[in-house]
Amino acid sequence: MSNTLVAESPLSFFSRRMMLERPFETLVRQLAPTWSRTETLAEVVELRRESPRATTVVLAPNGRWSGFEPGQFVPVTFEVNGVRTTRCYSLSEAPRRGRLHITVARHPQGKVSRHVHDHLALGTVVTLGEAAGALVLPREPGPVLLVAGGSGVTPMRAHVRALAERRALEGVVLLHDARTEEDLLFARDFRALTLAHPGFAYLPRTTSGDDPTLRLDAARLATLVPDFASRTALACGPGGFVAMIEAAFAEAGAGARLRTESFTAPMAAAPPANAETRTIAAPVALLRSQVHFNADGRTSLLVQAEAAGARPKSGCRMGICHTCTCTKRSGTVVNLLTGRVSSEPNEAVQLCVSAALGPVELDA
Amino acid sequence: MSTNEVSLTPAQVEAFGRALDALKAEVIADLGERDLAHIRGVIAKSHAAEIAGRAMLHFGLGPVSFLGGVAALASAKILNNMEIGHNVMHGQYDWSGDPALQSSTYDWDTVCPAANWKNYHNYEHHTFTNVLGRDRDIGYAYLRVCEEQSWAPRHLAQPVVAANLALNFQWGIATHDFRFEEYLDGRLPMRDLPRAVAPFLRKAAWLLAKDYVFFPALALANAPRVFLGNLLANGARNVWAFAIIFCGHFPDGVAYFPEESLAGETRGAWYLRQIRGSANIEGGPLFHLFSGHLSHQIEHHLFPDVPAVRYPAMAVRVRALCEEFGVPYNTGSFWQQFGTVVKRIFRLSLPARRVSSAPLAAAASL
Ligand SMILES: Cc1cc2nc3c(=O)[nH]c(=O)nc-3n(C[C@H](O)[C@H](O)[C@H](O)COP(=O)(O)OP(=O)(O)OC[C@H]3O[C@@H](n4cnc5c(N)ncnc54)[C@H](O)[C@@H]3O)c2cc1C
Ligand code: FES
Repeated sequence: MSNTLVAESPLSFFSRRMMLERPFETLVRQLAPTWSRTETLAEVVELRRESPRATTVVLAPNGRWSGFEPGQFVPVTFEVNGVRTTRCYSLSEAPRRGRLHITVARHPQGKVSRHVHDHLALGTVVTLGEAAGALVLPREPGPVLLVAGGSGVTPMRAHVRALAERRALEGVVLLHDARTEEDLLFARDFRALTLAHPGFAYLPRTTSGDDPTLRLDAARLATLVPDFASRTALACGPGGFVAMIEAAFAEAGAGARLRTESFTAPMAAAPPANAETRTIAAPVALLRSQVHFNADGRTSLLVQAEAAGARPKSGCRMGICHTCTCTKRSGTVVNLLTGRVSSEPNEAVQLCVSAALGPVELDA
Repeated sequence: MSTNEVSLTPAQVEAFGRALDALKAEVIADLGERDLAHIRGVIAKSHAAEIAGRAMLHFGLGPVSFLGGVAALASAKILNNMEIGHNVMHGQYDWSGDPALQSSTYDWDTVCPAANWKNYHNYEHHTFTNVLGRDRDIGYAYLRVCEEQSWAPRHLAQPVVAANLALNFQWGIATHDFRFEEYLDGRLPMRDLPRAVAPFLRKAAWLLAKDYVFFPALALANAPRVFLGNLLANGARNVWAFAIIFCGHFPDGVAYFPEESLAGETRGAWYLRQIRGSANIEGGPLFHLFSGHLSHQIEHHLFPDVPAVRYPAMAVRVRALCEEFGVPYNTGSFWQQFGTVVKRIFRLSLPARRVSSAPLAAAASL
């Protein structure tokens, strides 16, 4: 998403004007599948089954990839049955020349994670965003505590590997809670590292299903890591898990020492209720024209935008010409003609035949 | 040949419309990888054909490689304009999110700028199909293609005008949105014209430079051969596109509608007008592909933003529905359809004489 203006080379200017760009790109992509002047593309070069429910994807990005720090994540766009869909994944391996690792845990109903785990093929080309995220360690962190819940162990893996490479793993504690033995991702690797780095403490725990009495809480944290409040700490996991760690640190007056991240899955789209009876008042923001209004769930966004004083482009007003098509930045809308629900960010929607199912931001 | 009359009650018209809506929703729900693989395959083939065609023209010597080069380059241009450009700009692949296939940003390899095309074609022509006074594609402002258009002496020359339009079709397409006739008679202010045509002039200059300066210059001694090859490839694409597109709405049996028929038109009635105002061409898969599936003009007008590769399968269902509701379905071989178009261009160059075109479909009959 960088806005840096890159001066266009004369060659690219001429080829664009003469519409030779696309044939040229096709030719080059035969030899270098991730070649692109505008996008950060990466090829899937290795797939590793970490458990029956998790897969590591090793990616070889093109030259536009600008690197990352351990603990960061990257937005990855996959094509799931032909539809581009973006999800964030933490990098699960220390920065290496020319290779990126992400580890994806399969959600039983998840769109992207199921695709990755069940169908992704070697040689697939994906699109990457820029690495981001503040779950990083200072250069001289002092004693470190890493707390992971479930698949929240992925950014911790990158930290542990990077610290090991720097021979800085002494005194580091990694606490990992997962449901079952199988979900203790990278356990074998972490155990091997405890042998090579005797000062590294790896504390895996299984909570065996949903028994709440086994879950990590403030008291258990204090028992397992008595000096937790004096450590530089990172925590990652489901929302509730992270909130509990935050509370424990706050109570110990050490909130400032802790950085957290949770893999909040976006809210599943509201099921499209019967159009006649759907009554909602969803805030709609037209980002370009700076118009805001409350949409009901039945009338087209075009009609309601116009009623609010905006003038989005339109033509047929019946869903055939695509003049009114704009990018929906966020939110969920339903196509009133086909019933197709769009809940992913950055999808193209037709204003004249789409109604809001919740708060929506539109590039109109 | 059908007389193109329908007698449906308003309730039947809406039931017909709902059945077509359901068919569309069914196909939309089924879109996926397969459709993308199709269009990407065609894109790859069109690029391969362009590269091969240009190479044959540049490096070849004899007439065989010359004709091969022209054929390959013409194929590339036809696929680019018809199956790829036209369909992508209709939004047929917007759902994929692939930035290379978005109707909002795609531009095709012909001198007509995408924005002009999308306005008069996607919006005006597809919304007001065959409505006299609203659909400027009826005869493209040059030709008299239906009885209901009033005759003028200039129509005497229309067989020649039509042949000229066929040879230069991309220029006709490119300038159609500017409404020159309205600037000339003062309905549009002349001072707005330069700004309106600027994007077209810029695009045209670059594309002319590509085929008639840049590539010939690159070929050094082979320059005349490349120049001529490019000219023939562009011409072949023009004639082919003209023939396919004229078979869409001008064969015998197609209905035209008065402007009043738009008042209070329901979705079902809109569907009905699309079917009665369009005609299909029969042929094999390769013919359909090279026509950009406009050989399924009826399905294209019912579902302009459904990937065109789906039309052949949808046509079976549409035809069955038409039979069920007693709606005429105009289809025939290429020569059959094109033959009636040519005859009609000749016949209508003369003043009023009845053709077998359907009487002006009265909204009242619905
Ligand atoms: C900063 C960040 C880093 C992340 N890092 C990782 C990582 O390293 N590894 C990792 O595996 N994930 C990570 N995630 C999570 C990841 O981005 C995805 O959210 C996750 O993979 C699920 O995506 P999905 O498309 O499979 O599920 P979605 O289709 O988006 O569904 C989300 C959840 O809703 C549930 N769901 C979907 N539909 C229904 C339904 N109809 N009824 C009930 N439930 C439903 C799914 O089971 C799933 O749990 C990270 C997220 C963030 C924000
Ligand atoms: S205005 Fe034509 S599709 Fe929306």
